[in-house]
Amino acid sequence: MTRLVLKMAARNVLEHRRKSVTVGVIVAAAACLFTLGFSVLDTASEGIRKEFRNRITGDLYVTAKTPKPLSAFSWKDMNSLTEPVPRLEGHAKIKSYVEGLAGVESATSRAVGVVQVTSEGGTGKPGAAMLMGVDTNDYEKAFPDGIRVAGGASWTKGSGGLIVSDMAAGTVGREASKPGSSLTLSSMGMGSAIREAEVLGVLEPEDSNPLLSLLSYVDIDTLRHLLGYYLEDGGETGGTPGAKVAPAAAPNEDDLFSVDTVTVGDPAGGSGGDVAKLLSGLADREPPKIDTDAWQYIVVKVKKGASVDGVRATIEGFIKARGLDATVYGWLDGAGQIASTVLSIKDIFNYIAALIALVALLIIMNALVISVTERTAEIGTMRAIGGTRNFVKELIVTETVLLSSVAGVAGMALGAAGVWLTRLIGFRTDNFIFKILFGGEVFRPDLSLPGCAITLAAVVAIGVVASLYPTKIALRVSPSVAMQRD
Amino acid sequence: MTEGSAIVSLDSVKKTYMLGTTEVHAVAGVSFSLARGDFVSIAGPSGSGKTTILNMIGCIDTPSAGEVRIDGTITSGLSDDEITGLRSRTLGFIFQSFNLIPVLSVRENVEFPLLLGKGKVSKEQEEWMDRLIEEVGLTDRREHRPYELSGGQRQRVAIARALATNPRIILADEPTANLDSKTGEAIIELMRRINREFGTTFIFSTHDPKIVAEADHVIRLKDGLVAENTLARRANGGGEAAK
Repeated sequence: MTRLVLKMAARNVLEHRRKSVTVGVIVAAAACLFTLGFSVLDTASEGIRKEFRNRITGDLYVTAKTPKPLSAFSWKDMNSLTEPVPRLEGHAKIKSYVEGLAGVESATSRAVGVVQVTSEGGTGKPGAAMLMGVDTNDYEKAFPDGIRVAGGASWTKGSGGLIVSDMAAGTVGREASKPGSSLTLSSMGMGSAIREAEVLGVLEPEDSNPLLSLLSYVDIDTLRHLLGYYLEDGGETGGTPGAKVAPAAAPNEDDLFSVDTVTVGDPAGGSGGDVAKLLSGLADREPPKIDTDAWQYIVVKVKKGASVDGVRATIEGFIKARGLDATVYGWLDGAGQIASTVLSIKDIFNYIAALIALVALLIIMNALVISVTERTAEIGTMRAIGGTRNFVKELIVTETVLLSSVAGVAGMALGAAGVWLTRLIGFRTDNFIFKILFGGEVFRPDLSLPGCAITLAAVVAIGVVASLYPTKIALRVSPSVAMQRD
Repeated sequence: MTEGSAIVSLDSVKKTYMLGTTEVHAVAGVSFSLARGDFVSIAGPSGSGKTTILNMIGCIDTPSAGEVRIDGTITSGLSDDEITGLRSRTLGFIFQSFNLIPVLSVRENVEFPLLLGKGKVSKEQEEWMDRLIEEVGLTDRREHRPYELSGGQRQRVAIARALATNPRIILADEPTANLDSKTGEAIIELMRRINREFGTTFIFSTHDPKIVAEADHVIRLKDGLVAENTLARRANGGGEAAK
């Protein structure tokens, strides 16, 4: 029976050319569009995922539990950028646990703060920078592609210093921010600390990722000073060699200008009172001790093949079991608006694809209904000479699925050729939005295999669903129709 | 003829259609029996109920009242699958418009009813098909498609197809209506020959007097009723009334 049905279905597809061409062209066009669309969007979203995962967000990141969500850089709400990100309490426990998980490739800690950057001597305009404090011992091991230095160098192992963003360098002045010079960093919205840091390098411009263009990097101890992460009980002083503390032992403006320490001189002609004394006394003070376990983030990369969701659930389980005030985010939470935009575009495309599939389905169904109506005598004859209802059903469904599959594969091949051609030539754009979406000026899409699988499944499903109503009509055909005169 | 020896019997069969709010009595109470191996003509003018009766005998229509018995089986109350089975085992059809399956060749059309039953044909069935195709004189056209054949050739394919399952009864609805008279006569002659050779009962509707004259048993219908039921004796042109 199956061989007979296949033979008849194949021949019917070839014989009923008008119907086959109508249905075939619609299915092929839809399959071509789906293949191209899925490939472009999958490449863009995978590119963005890789860009963020490899350069900044990792697969997961752990932060303190906050009422407002945190991105991988700061608050998700850009209006709250200057608000300090809270410390991650229990950092050491969590990190130690995460590092011991089998599915974890790396776990590195960091903190962020928004600072004002000014040049030494006050030349150039002051600029703002989102300063990411990292452990210079292991950060680049975890994110080898995270810091792209255009001029100068990165840290040598364990050293301190500033790697300034292209944007901040442009604002402060190229000359003032060239490697080897010093920039003054003033905390914003998190106390009033001032540090001076040596510029080690300037980052590449980040045209295709505006969020990354905000980031400058510094050794964690410099940032801890700026954030005021000191030990209250005078523990061991941490510190990174090369991280300058300037002016020495004058950690913040509060120290300098608090009512306890500033004495106003005699207005009747006294000398300046105790200010000089105060300043000279500062040199003798013990520098405050940095809290070396003060971090805001643990950024986790999951091993290839391991389940990100699985690792996330394990970490969440640990946090819950220990009653820690922490939470775990995925890379997408950390990527901000760009990745969400791509995924929204993908959702929109999926809706459009579903709409196209629905329209295609209706057109195909209509063509099949016409075809079945034209063949009532043939169907009636088959029923009269012994064909069961199942036989008729099989024949109509096989015919439609065969046609939609062949046309679908042809459309997919066309779409794949389009992807290949676009990849070969490269889609160039100067458009800012496209540059962000495509991760650069030239876009070279990869053929999306999951997209192809979805496309194939969709065209077969369209074929099956589109054949249901015509089959119903065909099954209503009585064998007596065969006896009717032409 | 006794009830038991009849291959087909109709008992007070009626068929009523609704045409809007009007009842149309296509068959108004018909009873007759047909013997095995008969060459039966159901004759009558258009609208007399010939096709309706053939449909009911062929189990592709059901009576509004009365009983149709095919080879001992009462057709009323059978399920769709049982009726399909009865049709494929017992009945063969020849249609006025030939109704060959256009995408199949001559041989495949003849093979089609056999494949519907089992999905494949046996060696004996293949030989039977070859013989049938030879009988209808289409051996050299066996791989041709219906559109490559003349009307007469198509009807001969339909005859071979109707015989493929070796049914006891073949129903032919005005089998010569779409053929010229010479071809029509050839077709009737072929049917007659097969009837004698294989003992198959042929029941055909027609209003062509020449074809009616070939029949052993003639049932004439008028306004949905049997007007004449005659066992014909073609040799001397006479006849006797049948029960």
